[in-house]
Amino acid sequence: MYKKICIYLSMGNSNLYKGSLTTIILKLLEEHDKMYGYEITQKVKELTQGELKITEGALYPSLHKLEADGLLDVEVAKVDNRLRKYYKLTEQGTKETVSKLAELENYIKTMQNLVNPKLILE
Amino acid sequence: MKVNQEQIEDLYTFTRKHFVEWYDVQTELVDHLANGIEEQWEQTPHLSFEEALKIEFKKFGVFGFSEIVEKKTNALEKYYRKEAWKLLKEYFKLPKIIATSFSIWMLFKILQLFNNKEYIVVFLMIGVACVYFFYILKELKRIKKINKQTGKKWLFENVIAQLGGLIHFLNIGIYMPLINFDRQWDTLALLSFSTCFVVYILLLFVSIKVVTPRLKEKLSKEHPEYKLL
Repeated sequence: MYKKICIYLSMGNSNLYKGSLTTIILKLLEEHDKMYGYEITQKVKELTQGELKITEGALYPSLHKLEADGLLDVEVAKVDNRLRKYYKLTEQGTKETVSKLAELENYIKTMQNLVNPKLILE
Repeated sequence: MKVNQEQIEDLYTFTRKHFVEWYDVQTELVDHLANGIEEQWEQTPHLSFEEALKIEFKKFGVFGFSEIVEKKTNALEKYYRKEAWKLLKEYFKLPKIIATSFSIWMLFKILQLFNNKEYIVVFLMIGVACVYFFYILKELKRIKKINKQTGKKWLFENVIAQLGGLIHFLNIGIYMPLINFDRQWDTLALLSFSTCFVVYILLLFVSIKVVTPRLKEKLSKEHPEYKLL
């Protein structure tokens, strides 16, 4: 599923993934116990082989919104010589991830049907 | 190579210079910048700290940190209002609705006893305005004290002091011009005032006594430093 999302999103056009940023964050946090902002940007870059780059200006507002919506919990820990803010899914966040992923998968299917209807016949 | 303690302090100064006055927001940005600088040093070890920082900051776009601060403030205010609204709704469901209805009815009956009702209305409004201003002054004084002691300002605290933006809605002064001293206080007017006043008191109560302490507790859990204040 994740690979599918990444293939779909790694089209080089940032407008295509704008609406899916929340889903990407939730999916990553579902797979990892907790993550910090910079780690999320690097993980996305790594998974998409650099095709998809989440900008700092988009990532943090999304994380803060998800936190305010009660989908993420925050924990601050001292790492090396600085403080690090970790995000993790709340119970509500875990449920929301499932529904967001289903929504996105559905959308991908619809787009595939539109862009390449032959694939369905095969 | 790792960013040292002195450079971490420089990063805090850098965020402050770029209009991020809140320590809770600065902390996240400092860690992000430090991670980015360390990543650059892995690829280009001879790069200076200042050069690496310049490159990292550019990644935040033309608006720098301002958009992050603005959206974080909006998200926190929304969270505060949502919590207050959720708690307020509880007072209109069983069993609390019984106490709410009783309070409205009591106020309605008390107002019926007086001839010069507008004086009682003004007295009640001044009473709650005092509570409202006392809370704001107390919170602002506390924030100033923390800032003086630690040199840190917390966005969370600022949102709490402003009741998540409800401060404007709960400013009873804006409702004063609605009082008409020549009006006839019929049953409908009395009932409307009683209901609005009780709703106002409930909203002020859940904001000050429930949402604010809850948010402070949440911040204490997240930031061990805040717990010590």
